[in-house]
Amino acid sequence: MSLVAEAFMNQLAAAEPWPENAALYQQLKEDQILLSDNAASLAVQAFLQMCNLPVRVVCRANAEYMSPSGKVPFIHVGNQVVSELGPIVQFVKAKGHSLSDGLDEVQKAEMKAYMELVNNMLLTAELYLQWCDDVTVEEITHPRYGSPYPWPLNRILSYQKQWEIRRKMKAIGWAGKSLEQVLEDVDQCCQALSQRLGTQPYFFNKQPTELDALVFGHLFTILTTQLITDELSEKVKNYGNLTAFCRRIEQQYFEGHDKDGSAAASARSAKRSLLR
Amino acid sequence: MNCVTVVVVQHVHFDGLGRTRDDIIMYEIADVFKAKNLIDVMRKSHEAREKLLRLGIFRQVEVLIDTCQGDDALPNGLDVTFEVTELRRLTGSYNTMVGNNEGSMVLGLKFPNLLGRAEKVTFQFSYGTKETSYGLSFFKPQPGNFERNFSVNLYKVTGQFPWSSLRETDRGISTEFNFPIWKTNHTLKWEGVWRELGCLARTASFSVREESGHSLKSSISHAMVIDSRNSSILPKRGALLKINQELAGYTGGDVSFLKEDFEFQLNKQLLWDSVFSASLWGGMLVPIGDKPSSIADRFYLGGPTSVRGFSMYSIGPQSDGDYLGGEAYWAGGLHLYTPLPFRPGRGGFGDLFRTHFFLNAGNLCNLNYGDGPKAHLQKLAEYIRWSYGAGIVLRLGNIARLELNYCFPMGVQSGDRICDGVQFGAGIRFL
Repeated sequence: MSLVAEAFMNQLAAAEPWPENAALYQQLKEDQILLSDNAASLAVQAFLQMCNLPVRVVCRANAEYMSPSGKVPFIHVGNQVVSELGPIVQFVKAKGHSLSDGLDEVQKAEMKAYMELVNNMLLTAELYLQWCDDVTVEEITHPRYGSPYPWPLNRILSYQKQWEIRRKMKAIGWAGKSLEQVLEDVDQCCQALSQRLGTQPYFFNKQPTELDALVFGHLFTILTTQLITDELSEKVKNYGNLTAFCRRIEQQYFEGHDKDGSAAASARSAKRSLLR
Repeated sequence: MNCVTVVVVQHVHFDGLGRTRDDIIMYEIADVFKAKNLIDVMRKSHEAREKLLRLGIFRQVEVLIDTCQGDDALPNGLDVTFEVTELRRLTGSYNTMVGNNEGSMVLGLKFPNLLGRAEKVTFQFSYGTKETSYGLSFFKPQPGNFERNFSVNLYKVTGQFPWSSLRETDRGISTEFNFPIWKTNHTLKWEGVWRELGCLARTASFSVREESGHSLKSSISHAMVIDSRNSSILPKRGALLKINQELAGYTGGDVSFLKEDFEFQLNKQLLWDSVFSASLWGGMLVPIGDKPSSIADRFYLGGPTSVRGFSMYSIGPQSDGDYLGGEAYWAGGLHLYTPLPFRPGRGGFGDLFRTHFFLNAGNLCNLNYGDGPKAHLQKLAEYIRWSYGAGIVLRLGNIARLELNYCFPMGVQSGDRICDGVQFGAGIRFL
């Protein structure tokens, strides 16, 4: 389909209201999904809850390959398939729902900057820990990533993914970093977020925005996923206002809803330690 | 000495053997020693020559028959000499190919007669603007019994299927064992394939998107072929029966099914150089276990090589214009081939062309295996697609044919895509 035709189709789709049967696709909760993908999925779920748009979570072993961009999660709304938080925010905005309309230009720029910080620091640190730390790779990542597939496909696919992530790390200069340096970076990122949040309920005072959804997705997953060591979650626990922020959002947007779609259930399925 | 004198073949000489081992040669020429008279010697030598050539290790084989010389020569003794030229150890080929919006260069390497007993290793590598594919194959016949052979293949093949908006990459290994039993040819094969499916376009339907991803198929299959036709393209007489079954899932992998399909063709020559041909194809895929069948295993129907008058593989279950294939199908065709009207170019170029009148029919659907066979037959019998028409067929060597037909598709169901009017087709296997 030509670009013009695709733009026209998108315009038509934008005019349709949000359907009842919208679905969000991610990998299998119990055995397969990894920390970084779980964080991304939770961020999108939180965002849609904040916009009051119902969506049901569907788990498929091949979700990563179904996605048009190769990244999870993606949503299937009507005839459209949109993946990753950024494009989903745009898509939802075209349908008339937005969380950041009340912000002025300066605040919007600030919000984008902080979202970039989370993506460049926190997400990359999660990927580093999952794919470049040998102990984690051997004990958690390889068994989980290849779990839906028979031998030898499970080994082939996880080695292929590992090679791809390591190549990306090399390209952005993270390959030479040690685990301590990465944890330092996580600490600095959390410090910046904590300072911005201060004592406010949300990053931009009264109303949650997509930044809140993104930060919640990553921090909640880090706090509730059991890895080889607790070093990563300890870095986040150092900042009391961030843990309070996560608890607040969990209570407000996820508890009291169905199991499918609740943050607690989706994080509980990944190995977790108590959020206290 | 005349043609009925009893003769004895005393010696058989070979000139030009290099790396070829003696024992495989012995099997092929053993019959020559049994010849009783001169005509017999000539005939058996010719047969031995044919047998030696089919091994694929000699470029040329010449036969010389002479009377025996020397001390132990009998008065009616004969010497038969085979002068052979072996193929070189390595032959290479390089082609460029232009296909659907893609150009590629193809490099082929062949090592004939690798270890002296007609083993062959071939390697083909295709590097294209869109995809690369390669194949490595090792072939070994049984000495003395060339039709019994075994081969091991390694390959990576990519395919694009625009009728389903699907892209498929297969990386696999297979071992195959061929053997004849009486008049039939059997093949036993084990195959392990890593299949990667993906959407060809952003606009692929969600049903196709759901099938994207990786799977591993490990299957054993058996095929039987009986072919009594005089040619595989435009035969004048004879029949063909091919039955193929495949069982996947019991030797590993995550795809589990039983697949059966057959192909039947009958040809009969009629008055005035015309040929009547009837063919019937059918197949069934039964998934084992509770996982549904994969789009890569299902059957497809329609197109210039299948039910004519319909677009390529565009019959049956579909979603948003992407054809998903079906688990059961049948297709039949009746053809009448005649020489071109007024027979232009007779005896030469004109003999490659034939006119043909055809009637094709078929059906493709998914079966609910809970219902019995009666319900299945009923389902396959309703909504039959059929077509009729006429056209010109061109024979390309002994392998392929081109067709240009004018078709009238009938029994079209909603969702099928038709190609009524002129339709062009090229291929090696036609309904």
